[in-house]
Amino acid sequence: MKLLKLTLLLISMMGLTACGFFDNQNKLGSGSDEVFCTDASCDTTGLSSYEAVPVETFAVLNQNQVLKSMVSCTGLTNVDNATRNLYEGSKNSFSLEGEAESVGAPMWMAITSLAGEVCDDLVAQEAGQSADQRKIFSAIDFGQGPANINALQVASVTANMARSCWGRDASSKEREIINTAFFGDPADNNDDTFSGNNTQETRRAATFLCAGILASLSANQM
Amino acid sequence: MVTVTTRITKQTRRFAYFASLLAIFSMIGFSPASAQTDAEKHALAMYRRVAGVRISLDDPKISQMASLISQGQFENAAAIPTADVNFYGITVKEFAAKMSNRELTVSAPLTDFVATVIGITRDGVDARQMLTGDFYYAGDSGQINNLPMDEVDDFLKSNAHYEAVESSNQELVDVLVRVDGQKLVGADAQSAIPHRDPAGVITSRSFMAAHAIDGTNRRLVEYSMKSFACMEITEWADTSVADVFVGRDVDRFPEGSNNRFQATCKGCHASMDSMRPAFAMVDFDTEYLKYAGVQNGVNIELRNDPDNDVVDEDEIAVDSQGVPFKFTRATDTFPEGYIVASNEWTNLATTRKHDKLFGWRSATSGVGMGDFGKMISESKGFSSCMVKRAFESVCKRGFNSDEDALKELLTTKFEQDYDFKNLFISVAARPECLGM
Repeated sequence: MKLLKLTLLLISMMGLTACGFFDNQNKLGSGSDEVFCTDASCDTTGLSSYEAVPVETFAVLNQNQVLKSMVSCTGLTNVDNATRNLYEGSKNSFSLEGEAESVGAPMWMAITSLAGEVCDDLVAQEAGQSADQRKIFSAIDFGQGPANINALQVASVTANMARSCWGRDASSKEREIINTAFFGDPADNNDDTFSGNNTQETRRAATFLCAGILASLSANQM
Repeated sequence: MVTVTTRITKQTRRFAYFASLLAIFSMIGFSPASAQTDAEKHALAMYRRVAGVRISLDDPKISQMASLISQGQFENAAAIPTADVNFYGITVKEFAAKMSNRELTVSAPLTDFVATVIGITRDGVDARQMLTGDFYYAGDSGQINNLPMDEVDDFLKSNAHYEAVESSNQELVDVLVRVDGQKLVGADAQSAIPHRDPAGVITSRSFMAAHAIDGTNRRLVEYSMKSFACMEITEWADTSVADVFVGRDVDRFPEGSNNRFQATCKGCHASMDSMRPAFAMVDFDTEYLKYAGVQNGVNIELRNDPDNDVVDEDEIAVDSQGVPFKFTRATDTFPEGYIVASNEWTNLATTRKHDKLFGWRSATSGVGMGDFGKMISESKGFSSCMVKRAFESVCKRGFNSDEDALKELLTTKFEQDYDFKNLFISVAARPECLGM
């Protein structure tokens, strides 16, 4: 069932892209209709009556930006060689120049993989820090198993990641999605929850939370 | 699609699944009731477009920028992300890369061209020196271990130095230093000598490697206009220009008719060939730039096989004028055509149409590449092109057809100080750019 859901979601994401959902230019109107003139003798006073027209555009992080942006927003200070090698090996899968039309499944798989590695590095970094030094996982006790992670702690990580890498708070719907993904679907007997007392599992759980947000569109939008 | 997903681990599936859900909900606007103010939203957008990376809403720089934005101080706000190392490592690097290679792509390795533009931006050097300066920027061996520093092998005969700088993963803004005095490979092919005709990044190894290799050196003219004046040759082609400088290798009777030449070929060649002599001393061969009069000239015209212009590493193939032999290929096509005998040139792209396109403001004739670079750098076309490139970089779109006044405004501002960093600030501060 979950495989089917994933397939349908990926296909619908591609479909939304193909329908030109991403509005590359939002032309709101025209500016001044003064004739452009390069001659020094031309009257340039038309510039003072020029009226600015805001135009919003959409772009995604390009191949030069994607790793640096993940590092910047998460506060990761040391990217390990495995992460860097994955990035270099996947570079051609990322968008070349960040154009909206470049969004596609191969790119998103590459972003997801890279996000996983970056978050792995971040967990390793923050697990070695005291709680008050951490930017993202301040609420997580890495000395305990994931069975001790509760909804408040998940909410804390979500809030920190959202504000850091989305530049905003998560919506209630987004928080709901994250909670369901982390704690499992009760209708599915919660069979995918992180459980037990293994501290390595806690790190994996933290990576999971981090990477899901870091791999999302909002974290990769320019 | 199902085959792909069965190979993915369970947990990868899970976070790919909820990342997809998050993607969809953020796309269709199920985002938030957020604590983010309009000024903060503006600050975040401005920061990521200038620095090229995302930043936390809680970073003190964002609140500082938001405060400035609330007071209408947009340029002061836009100045803040220019202090981010990524402004140089991403934004300026890509701005430079697009001008540096034949594909005009941002996906290019670090080279002397790119490093020099980053250095010019960081140090506030007059942008016109990008095409006239006798200097370049390189990595600091005091900060990067085991950096290849041989002037000939690592700078002139390969890109090894810059590849190592890039591989060091250090921030370019921190490790680049200015080196005065461009160089050429000497007659022995092993020493470096002062460059005889420096012209900023035009005479960088990477630009020469891209455009002075093989061919007839016309590409140097074409790509100089394309990279630094944003002019495709089809835009400045003009059949009204006199064909006095068109070379002997251009057929005046293609398919048996002079009409075709007059109506089509002449449009590009008349202007382009008039400036081509600026590059009459150079040929990029066997991995480095050779300069007539430096390397030992081998007169190919004296050979029994004139199609064989292969020479040794320390030699340059020339004609009886001493000009690189590439200017003498296929001369039997139209023997009455112009013979390039020196690097003196006259720009014939000076009609009323060209004046409007390029806005020439200095001498349109000269000797060599330095004068050629000066002509372009002093033109309105250069300033306008740099504005266009910065705008596309930050605003993720080109100017609309009704934004000529905006482009003029930004160009006029850029020409007040020819400072690249200030250019990016001016662009990012415009409401037309970020839509806010």
